Amino acid sequence: MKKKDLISKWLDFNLDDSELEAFNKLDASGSYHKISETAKLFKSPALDNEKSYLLLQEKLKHQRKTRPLLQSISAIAAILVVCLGTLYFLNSSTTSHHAQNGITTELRLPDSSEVILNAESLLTYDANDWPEKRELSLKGEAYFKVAGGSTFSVSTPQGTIRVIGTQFKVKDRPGFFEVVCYEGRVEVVFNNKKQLLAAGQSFKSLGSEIFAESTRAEYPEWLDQKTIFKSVPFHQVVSELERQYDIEITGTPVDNTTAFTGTFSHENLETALQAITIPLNLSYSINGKNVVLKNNRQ
Amino acid sequence: MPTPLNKDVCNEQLFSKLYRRYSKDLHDFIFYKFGEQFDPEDKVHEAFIKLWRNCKKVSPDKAKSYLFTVINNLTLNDIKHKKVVLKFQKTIKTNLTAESPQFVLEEKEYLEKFETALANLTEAQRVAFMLNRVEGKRHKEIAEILNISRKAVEKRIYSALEKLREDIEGI
Repeated sequence: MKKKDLISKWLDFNLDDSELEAFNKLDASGSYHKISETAKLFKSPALDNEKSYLLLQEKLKHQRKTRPLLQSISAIAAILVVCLGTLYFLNSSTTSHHAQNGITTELRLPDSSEVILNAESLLTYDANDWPEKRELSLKGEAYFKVAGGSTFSVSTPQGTIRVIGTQFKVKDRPGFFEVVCYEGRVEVVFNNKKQLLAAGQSFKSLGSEIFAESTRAEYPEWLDQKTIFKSVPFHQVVSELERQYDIEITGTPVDNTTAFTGTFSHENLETALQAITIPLNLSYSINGKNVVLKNNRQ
Repeated sequence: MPTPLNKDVCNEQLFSKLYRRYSKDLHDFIFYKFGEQFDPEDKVHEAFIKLWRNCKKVSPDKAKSYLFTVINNLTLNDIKHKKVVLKFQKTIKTNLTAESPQFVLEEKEYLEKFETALANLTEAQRVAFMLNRVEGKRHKEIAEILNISRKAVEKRIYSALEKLREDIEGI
């Protein structure tokens, strides 16, 4: 047997007695044994499977649920909803869902349409009218996967979107309004003007200006834990970062006309801050939940 | 194999089964590839959190490769922002026999050389070699973990061994 094959077989714990003898007669066999023994000193620390799994479950709970303080508030809110619901049962039953800062919430509507709310967004609708009147109102940003049926409409402070069965997202933030259609067709009513969007088209308004853009995405980028901006005023980027990480950002290092194009991740604050500050030659300092931005040229 | 009853991994029992089956291999994979400073256990958790969040999109038979891809990318992402320093954990030798000072010195030198040589292997070589020598895994098992051919594993381990010997003995 060739020397190399012998060594490989030894490495695969697959030598029989006579082969082992031959291996041990190799000049370098002492070196091989020693290397093999020494490697064991570099063993990875033991992973306690059970303990580690419990820790993971803790982390997951944290991800999925609201924080303890908010839980007690929502418990009170739930009781109130039940009381009010009993009182006004015949009149209406408004359901609302609120995603807090730093959290996205997935929910299913009575007709099995799906909605994913981005951080700091509020969605309300009247479940009693469902499915005859599929009307929702939204403050913030959300992605909709609409099940087929009657007209489905979403009103936001700045505009209204009407569809039948499709996928789209709406982002309505102060001074910023955007609708992206991922599938089917969407009708957008903005400033009393109607506009039709086909799949892959988007509508964006920054105050007075209106932009028509196209996209190849199949769902909003924040489902992949990031936010993408294309020529968006920097202060909008800062507000989004505050919502995603539940932090407060102070300092206005650039004027309101400075535009930003780029992406930040929702998974690591440092990385995200670097992504938005380096292109503009800014620096940042983190102090708990407060972040201060500074212009390096000042 | 996972039961084909589940079309995705959004099932807590299945999820915990996956954790028990793959967490150690994922952990070792990251540890041997990048060293300990990237907190391999935390990376394992992050990967599983991501799996849980996207559980609807992942079928049970794709879960393993999903996890390995995700954990690799997560760590690479981290590395982009940190300087890579390879330092492996050393288990302290509790050897109570009397040793001559010269022997102790030689051993220490050897260990230092070994550490440098180990850090100088390619990531691919190191992972395969350590899983084999330290975790006692056979070529076929490593091939399954890394999703490469058995022949490729054999080549990586063999070349790692030769490279270590060359570096340590200065041949």
